[in-house]
Amino acid sequence: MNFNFLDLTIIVVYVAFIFFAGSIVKKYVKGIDDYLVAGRSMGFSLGLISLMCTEIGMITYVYFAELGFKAGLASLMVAIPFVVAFLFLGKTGFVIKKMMEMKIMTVPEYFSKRYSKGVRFYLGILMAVGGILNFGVFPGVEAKFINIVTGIPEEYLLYTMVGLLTIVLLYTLVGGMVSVIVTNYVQYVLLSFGMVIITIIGFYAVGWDAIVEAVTVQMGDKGIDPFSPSFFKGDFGFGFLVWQILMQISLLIGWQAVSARLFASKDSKTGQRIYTWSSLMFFARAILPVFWGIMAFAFYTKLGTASEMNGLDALPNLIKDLVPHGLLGLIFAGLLAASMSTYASYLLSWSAIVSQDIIGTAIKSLTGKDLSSKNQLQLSRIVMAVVMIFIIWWSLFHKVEGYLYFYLNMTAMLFIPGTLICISLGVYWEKARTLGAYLAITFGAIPPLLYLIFPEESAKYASEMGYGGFIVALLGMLIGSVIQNVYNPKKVEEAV
Amino acid sequence: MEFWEIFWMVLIIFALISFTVISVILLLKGYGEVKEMLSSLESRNSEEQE
Repeated sequence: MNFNFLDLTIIVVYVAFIFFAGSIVKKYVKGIDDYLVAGRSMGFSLGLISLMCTEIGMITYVYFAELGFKAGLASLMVAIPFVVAFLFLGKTGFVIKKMMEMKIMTVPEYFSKRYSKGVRFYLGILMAVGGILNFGVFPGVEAKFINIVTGIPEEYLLYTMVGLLTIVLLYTLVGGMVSVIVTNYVQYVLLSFGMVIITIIGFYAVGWDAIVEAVTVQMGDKGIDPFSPSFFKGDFGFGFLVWQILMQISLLIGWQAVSARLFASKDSKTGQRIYTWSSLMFFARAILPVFWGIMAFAFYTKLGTASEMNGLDALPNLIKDLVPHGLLGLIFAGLLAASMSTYASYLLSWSAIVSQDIIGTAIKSLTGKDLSSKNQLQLSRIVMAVVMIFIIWWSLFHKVEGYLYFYLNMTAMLFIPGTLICISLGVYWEKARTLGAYLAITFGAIPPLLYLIFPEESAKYASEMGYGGFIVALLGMLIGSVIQNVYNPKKVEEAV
Repeated sequence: MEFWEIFWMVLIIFALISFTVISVILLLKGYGEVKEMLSSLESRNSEEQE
């Protein structure tokens, strides 16, 4: 074990406290509205904290640090699309304002109001598959991280992850979004402290000159200039930026774990304000972990071991090697906080999609009735437990090929292009039709599906496949809507 | 090369400072909001029971 008694005490106290805090709020949850969107009572600061906690997990640190470790300072460019996307949506309210005013609880719910229940059901399936495949690699990657930092032997890692997930499951199961928000607040204290301290310790130990030297000597121009050899050919140039900006905008609209924070906001003004300020916070969320990866590269280059190291292992090794005992316990509690908050939100979000949009829609079609609030609550809890069992199983057997960051992007891309096109045209174009929605969702899923089936062959075309998904989704919507408007022109669906 | 070196350094320092300052403000204000959210849920639920 790499921990001493003090480190272990800090971690045990932290986990017990989170479990306690998450469980005692059960009494505030009376119906499905409280359970999924905390009765739409969340204010600005809490909303921003909760959004950060949801989208920062150990896995976020790992994939960003891997990018920094492999691609150098140039990869800091990944932070720019977050700023553009958040500012754009926060300032203009593009699409999100309408969605918040509609008082929906899940993204596919919009589709039944604007298109048809069939589209909602279809999108719900793709969302559940993409979201759960994305979520499914978290425990495996994070188990390795915990193994390196703590020194827990690999044979006990499965039990460690199951134990951790069970604690998260129990308090999320009883308190839903209310538990998630309250525990997020506690978790953010440690999470933010950890992020600042890792940056300062790493920077102090490695030094800026060593970083620049390691990157320029080992990687050449490409390691520091994101547009090398040119703006259109660089790894982080035009294609990458277009794809990432489109994808981030779509994720902020259609990624249930994120948009659930909008739906839980007091009003649309609060939601937009959360997004505007998130631009700065998500900028740091990308910059700092990428920089940790770059520091790890410089540190291990100096020691002569960088070339043998797997990019995914760089950050946990750096933390283990640089952070002193006592502080290590606090930092690790911060890392656990990041992960537990993400697990809680993702469990809640993806089980909401399965229970509300897939099973709920199917039951309504068969019986003609909605489930009662109490039955919806029970169903959400059962689905949550099943989702947790699935992701543990999946993480044990699935090995990620290529950059982890791109795998996560592509699983999200299974439904993201179709979602963006359907919602934005649904809001702003009254001739958008149901057939167009089906085709947009289907066409948009093809490029990422190819990437996931043939990861090695398609890795070098990731950017093209990324923004290509949006282009074909748009084509699908236009073709489908035109066909339906020609052959069935009577019913013009109102733009909602 | 010198341009990018300075550019990245400014970006990293800016990210670290803005993240630290905003986090402190959020945590200070967030505590009151947690209490506010729980009391609004409690009062709404008790109104519904009545």
